[in-house]
Amino acid sequence: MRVPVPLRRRPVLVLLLPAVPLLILVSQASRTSDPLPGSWTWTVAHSVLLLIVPAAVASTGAALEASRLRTRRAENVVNTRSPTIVLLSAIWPSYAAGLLLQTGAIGLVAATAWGGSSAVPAGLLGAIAALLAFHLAAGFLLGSLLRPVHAAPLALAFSYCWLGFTGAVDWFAPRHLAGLVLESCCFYDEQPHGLAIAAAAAFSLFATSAFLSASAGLLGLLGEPRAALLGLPSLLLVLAVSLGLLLARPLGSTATQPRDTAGLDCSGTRIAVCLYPEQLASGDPRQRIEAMVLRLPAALGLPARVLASRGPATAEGLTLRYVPGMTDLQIAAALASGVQGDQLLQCSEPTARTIAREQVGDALRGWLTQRMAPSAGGESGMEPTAAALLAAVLRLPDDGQLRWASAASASLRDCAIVPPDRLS
Amino acid sequence: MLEAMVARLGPRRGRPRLSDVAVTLSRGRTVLLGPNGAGKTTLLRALAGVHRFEGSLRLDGSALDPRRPRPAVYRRAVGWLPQEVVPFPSLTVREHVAYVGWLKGLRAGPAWDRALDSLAQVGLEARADDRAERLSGGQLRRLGIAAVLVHEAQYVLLDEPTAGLDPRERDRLVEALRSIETRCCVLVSTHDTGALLEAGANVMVLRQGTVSFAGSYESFVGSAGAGAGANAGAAAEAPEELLRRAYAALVPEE
Repeated sequence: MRVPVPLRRRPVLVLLLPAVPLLILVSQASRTSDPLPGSWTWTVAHSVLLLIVPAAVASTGAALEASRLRTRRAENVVNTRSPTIVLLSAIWPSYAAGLLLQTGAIGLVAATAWGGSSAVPAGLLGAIAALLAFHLAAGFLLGSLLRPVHAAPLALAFSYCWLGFTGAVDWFAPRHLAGLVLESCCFYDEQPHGLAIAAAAAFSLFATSAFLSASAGLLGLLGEPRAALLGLPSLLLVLAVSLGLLLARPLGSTATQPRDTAGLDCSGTRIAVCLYPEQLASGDPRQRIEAMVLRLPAALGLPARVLASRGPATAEGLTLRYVPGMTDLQIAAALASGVQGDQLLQCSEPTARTIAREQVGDALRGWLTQRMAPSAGGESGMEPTAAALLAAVLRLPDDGQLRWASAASASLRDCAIVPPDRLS
Repeated sequence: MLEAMVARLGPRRGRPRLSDVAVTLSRGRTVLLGPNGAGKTTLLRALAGVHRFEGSLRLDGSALDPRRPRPAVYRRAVGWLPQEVVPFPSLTVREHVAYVGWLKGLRAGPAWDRALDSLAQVGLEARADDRAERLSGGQLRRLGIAAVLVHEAQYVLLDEPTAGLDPRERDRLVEALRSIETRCCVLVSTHDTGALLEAGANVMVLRQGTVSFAGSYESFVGSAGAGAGANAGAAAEAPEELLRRAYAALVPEE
């Protein structure tokens, strides 16, 4: 079937050539060796970090497409074809390219994730599609206003700046509009916050409508007079910002909310280890985890429950950032972090003591890890002074090690307690 | 037949750009003359549907409201070539014409087929697969005319199509026009009386937004002859000189 403009003439095809390797490069640059949840929710949300490439392609492609219609602004007034069809015909290849690249981004993130499963998060996917539409429409507007030689680089810069700027400011509401904050979603004990999705989607869709209707006016697709037609886009843009900020207002720095703990599946004889079904999909590690926790000295206080969470330990029990596929060493290190707590104590004290406290913290985490997974080998990547401290502690008799661990643990919770040295 | 009475076009306050301009387009060529700023381009844009105006408008007997956007049937029936023809970036000549046809309401397939016929009518079929950006100025004008013809416009409005063309390109364009006006109503604005004003054409002269002459070629030339009645050698004058004197009589130097 013949199309109005052959696909091979679409500028976005040329843009895809550098975009694909760039996407792979960006994904490699943001790769980490940490165990990453493999749920669809986490994978789709984290693909937002790579949005910069698909968004830039969509906006630049749309800017160049708009330049085609811009060449006959005057004649567009007397077109017979409906403005909506003309606009859709101009923007669909750039949008399709953006969606295709974002799908690739999701695939790249999924390839680095560890395991687990969950339902495909339709809300998150919809929000990402809306974010892409926003970038596309912004590029199209620039292409309607300016010559392509100016519009294309500006569209590229706009996408980069909008995502970068909103990621850099301390005021979180614009981050929710730009959608980059969605990447904070979600560990197994969290779920996407409906307001975060709604804020990003509502802002993007209304702003997209504003930009596209402004473009249609500037390109003469809506007839004369063009100036009067800019009233509706302005109104839509004000509505987009207002609605987006209103929806984002109750949100903090993340786009998540706690998941119902009723979904936890608990098992254990002396200590209940509670994980979500997605964490059990590729094997049940709960017995292993319980055995590790039971190796902890009772003097440090055994928890009654171990809960799947990336948050700090709570009164309900010890938290464990468990990702399916973790080795014993990784589980033990995650449990040690839970025992110790992620929050670093902020004390008003000489720098030397602060450093000593941090080294004691590192050494204690290493000691706890070795205690829980003695056959898994030592934790690598420890700072040399902390590693030396740990080695010295391990040479102490068992009761000496326990005394040091108790003192170290206490010093990490109370500024008044001096961190123990290795010989005490 | 396209009949328009532009009673007023322009700002609500101040001097209108056009007032009391009556136009009737029937088969053949109507040549629109006038000095710069007389309102020729404005009149063509008004007839094309770009500008709305107060007055009356009839297309093939059907009355339309000229203060409202023109219906699709009008937009399809009236083709307009502005002064500057800008090719679509990266499209070939045939793709350019087909895309305009699609914008004018044709389906993509028929637009593609008709594009070649339109290009043949203006003598550009040999360049169908070349990039439109590579065409010369004269070829671009012919490309613009092909884009007007692709949607089978019955009323063709051409704004100074021969401006800036070398004599050979100008002759090619006039030749193409002769073929088109056998089946279409063509209104062409120009300063180039020598090339476009021929026997059998209708003539309309605009001056300061109003009509100062409307009639046949013969009566236009005759007005020059009448003005030069005292001159015994008027009948023997070259046509170009007659046209120049007729125009000068209607539009004196300001």
